[in-house]
Amino acid sequence: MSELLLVVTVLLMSLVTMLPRVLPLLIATRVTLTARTRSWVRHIPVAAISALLVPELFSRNDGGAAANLYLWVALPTALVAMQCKHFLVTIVAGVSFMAIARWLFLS
Amino acid sequence: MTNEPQSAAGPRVGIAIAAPVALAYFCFTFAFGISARAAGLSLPVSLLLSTLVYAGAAQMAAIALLAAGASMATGVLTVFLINLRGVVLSLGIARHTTRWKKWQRLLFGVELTDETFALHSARWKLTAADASQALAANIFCHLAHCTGTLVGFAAGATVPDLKPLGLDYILPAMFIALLVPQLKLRSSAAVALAAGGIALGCHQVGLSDFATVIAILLAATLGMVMDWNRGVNDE
Repeated sequence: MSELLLVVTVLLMSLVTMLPRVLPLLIATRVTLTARTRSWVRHIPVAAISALLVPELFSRNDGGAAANLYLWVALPTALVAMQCKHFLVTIVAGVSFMAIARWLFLS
Repeated sequence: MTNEPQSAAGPRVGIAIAAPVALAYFCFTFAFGISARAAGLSLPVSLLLSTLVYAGAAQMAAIALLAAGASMATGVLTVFLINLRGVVLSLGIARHTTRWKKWQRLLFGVELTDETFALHSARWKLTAADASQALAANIFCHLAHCTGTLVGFAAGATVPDLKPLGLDYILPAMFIALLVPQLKLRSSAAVALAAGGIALGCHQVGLSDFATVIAILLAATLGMVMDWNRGVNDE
């Protein structure tokens, strides 16, 4: 995508994000969503993250015998995420695991 | 800005109560800035995302999709779906702000995220909704979000090759950090498993560009049906 097209894409992303956030506050309606609708909407972020993460873990191949480090490094990273509530710790752990794994297996 | 007598103290209190969220946003977008640059985005586009979309998971999804060469429609539709829960937040908090001026409600809505929602809805169970305080809190969080992006992007630019330091793994690590804590709920775990499997399957059969949207729609529906069958009412 060209830079201009990227900017247009981001502007559209902004529009579709802001309308749902702003309209109910501006109009101040008495509309309530059903429990079913709320449940559906609330499951979307988890679905989206997983839908983006899983193919990423399986499609990367750093080459060599160690094959797919993206997938293997995800396992200890997920363990850290289970133990530790702060996302920053998980990110630092994941990045460190990846650096160590590359150094061990690919250098 | 407002005619309320406590308006002088309002913004100061707002900034104080927002500090933990602002710090978390700064850290999150610092990592986001590095990975946005690694994904090949320019600084203006990265800052535009943090300023105008102002979201967590949706911004990460956006850079992952744009880096993978997804179409504009896929990117916009995915961000729309992820941020659709803004309706739930906005509807949930609207009754507190009915006496505010229109521009105050507009600005509050623009800066309504999961975290600022949680911050204010918890406070407003005890006290009346003070506009200047809430808006100051939200602007502070929004500024931290944009500053973190800028600093992260600049920090990323100082590293010539991300791979030896494992920095190309920031985006997957951020996804893992967001996803794993949610898996304690059985329905969320099922949704994650289904979405991952469906997306992988779509990539295998050559539907890469639709993989995310198809997986979101099917897996979220599965989660809804599971909640419904167990009679879960999320109030």
